[in-house]
Amino acid sequence: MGLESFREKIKELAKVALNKPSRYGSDINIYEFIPKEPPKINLYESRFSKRLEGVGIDVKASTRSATYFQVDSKVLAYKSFYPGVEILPLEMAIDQYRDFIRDYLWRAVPVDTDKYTAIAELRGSGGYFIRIKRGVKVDKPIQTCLFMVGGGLQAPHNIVIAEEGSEAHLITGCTIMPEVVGLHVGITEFYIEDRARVTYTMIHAWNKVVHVRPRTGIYLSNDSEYISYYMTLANAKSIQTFPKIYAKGDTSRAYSSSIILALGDAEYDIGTEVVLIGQGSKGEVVSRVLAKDNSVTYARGRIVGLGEKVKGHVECRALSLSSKACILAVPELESKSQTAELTHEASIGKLAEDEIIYLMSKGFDEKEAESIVIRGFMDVSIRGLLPSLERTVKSVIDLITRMATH
Amino acid sequence: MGVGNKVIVRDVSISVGYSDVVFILGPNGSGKTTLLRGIAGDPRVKVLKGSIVFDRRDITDLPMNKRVELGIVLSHQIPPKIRGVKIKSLLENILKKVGVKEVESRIKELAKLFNTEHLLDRDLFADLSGGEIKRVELMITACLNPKLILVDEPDSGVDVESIKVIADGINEILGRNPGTSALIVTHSGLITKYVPGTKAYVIVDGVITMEGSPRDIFTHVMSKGFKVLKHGVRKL
Repeated sequence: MGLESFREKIKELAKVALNKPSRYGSDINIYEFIPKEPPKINLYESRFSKRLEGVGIDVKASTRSATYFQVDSKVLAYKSFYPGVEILPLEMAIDQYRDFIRDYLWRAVPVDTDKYTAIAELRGSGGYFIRIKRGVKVDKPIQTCLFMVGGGLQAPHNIVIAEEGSEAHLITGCTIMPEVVGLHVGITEFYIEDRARVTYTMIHAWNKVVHVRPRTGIYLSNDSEYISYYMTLANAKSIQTFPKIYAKGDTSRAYSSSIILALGDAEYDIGTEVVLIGQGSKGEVVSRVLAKDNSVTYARGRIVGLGEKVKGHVECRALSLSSKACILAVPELESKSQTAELTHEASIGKLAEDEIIYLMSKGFDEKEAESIVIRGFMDVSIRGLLPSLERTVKSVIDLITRMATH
Repeated sequence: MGVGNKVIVRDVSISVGYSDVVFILGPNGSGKTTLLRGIAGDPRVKVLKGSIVFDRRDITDLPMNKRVELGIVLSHQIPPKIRGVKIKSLLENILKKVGVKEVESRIKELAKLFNTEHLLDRDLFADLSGGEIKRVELMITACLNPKLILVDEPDSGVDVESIKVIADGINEILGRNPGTSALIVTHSGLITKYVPGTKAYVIVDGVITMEGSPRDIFTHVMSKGFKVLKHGVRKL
């Protein structure tokens, strides 16, 4: 089948799925949102640049090995500063790599998953294609930025290929201007080949009227590794995401950590699924939720053990900071392998009075004590990141802590 | 003093002078810990009658953290585990708060003194032995340059070697700043062997029943137990 017929078939599948609701999360009327050409903006203008810096974006990209900017439905800029790192708008990559691109299109995320994947195929635009070439180890982060200024539908399709033995660190900042109404559906597919390693740091700061439905799939080959940190620090109207990691390769490893601050009337349904297929593959899904105001949060973690001697662990911990907030921790384990070792732990609690009083007995006032306890609660093990990204993750967690104690 | 609707400490009049080391002995449930918490300003403990005076100032209604600023620091018997809060980072926070400039070297010095160098990267009080908990708690107390330390059961649930280290820590805190005093609660009285005291009280059912030198009080308690006296305070 040629590329054109393949793409036609994809479109047909998408059309059938256009009214298929997502398995999780509130249902959104996707027809209310249409892609928009962005207004002309200067990213260096402080009202834009401050917003972007808030989600870890280096607007000048001087500390990055490659960069990609998309505003609403338009690709604004893309450039690689590093030999061995290729970055292109996906449409351009499809033209350029007609011979192999179909091996990576809608494989890790099926196009008929739900109405959001369908709308991304049929009406989405933009998205990046990143390829880290064989054996290349990148010591500066690759950044991608998806910015909503005019609102409407933003539905980029992204593909990341880490070739054999390569190593790369991606940081993605997604944000929106205040009061802009929109639906963000980011499709991201990762293909991590043998012995390759990818870390993916995502920082989201939305506004209270935007709906967010990212769809992410990751394929891991032999002895490869994927580490992700997802942080959301300003309330969206709703976010639903459940990335699926297929640890297909033997001794492949996946770690996913979600750090969630739920504010206002936000509805969050956030989690990760790891399917352990390869012999000796490992998966760990961790979440920390701080729930305030009237927010509703589902924190999911699911591990499926299929292969021999696989190991998985799910840890969902949540802290309720409001009597009106609702939290559901949903750790799930499924095994079809007798040698699989899968464990989980989940907890939901409030700030412990004895911990606060203990810290007050060491000279902290009540707010300071709360802040120390919350920062401790949010402490997740940070592994495998470049020092600059580790600092970014820590500073975002510090910011989340400050916002939570306000 | 009471907690919730329950009156726990009913008739207590004690004084701690500059450089004094005062012990309070008493059986389980006699109100020792409530008394210390009440003096420290624990918001769960209500002072129903009477007053607490420190440096000629009535501090009965002063919040806990403000009492710490005056120099009154409680060293807890069983401090809570606080996951994710590293011992070192708490020490840094406290030392910065009290205006110490050489934070790193002060932490090293304290950790060596309290034999806690290997514990600094651990979560606060999580996965520590009884002795380690006491040593870490005293190290944190020492950070605050206290004028009066309120030490709750330093000798319970620890081995003899740890008691010596704990006692050394208390003596170090007392010796560092002239005039520093201690009010030490003990069930077993073991700590009195290692920390020279100036006075001791016995508390039973929330009432002070005996007062005297630590040696006399300890000897009496060892031979006769915490016998409740019916008429007033017996001075030994």
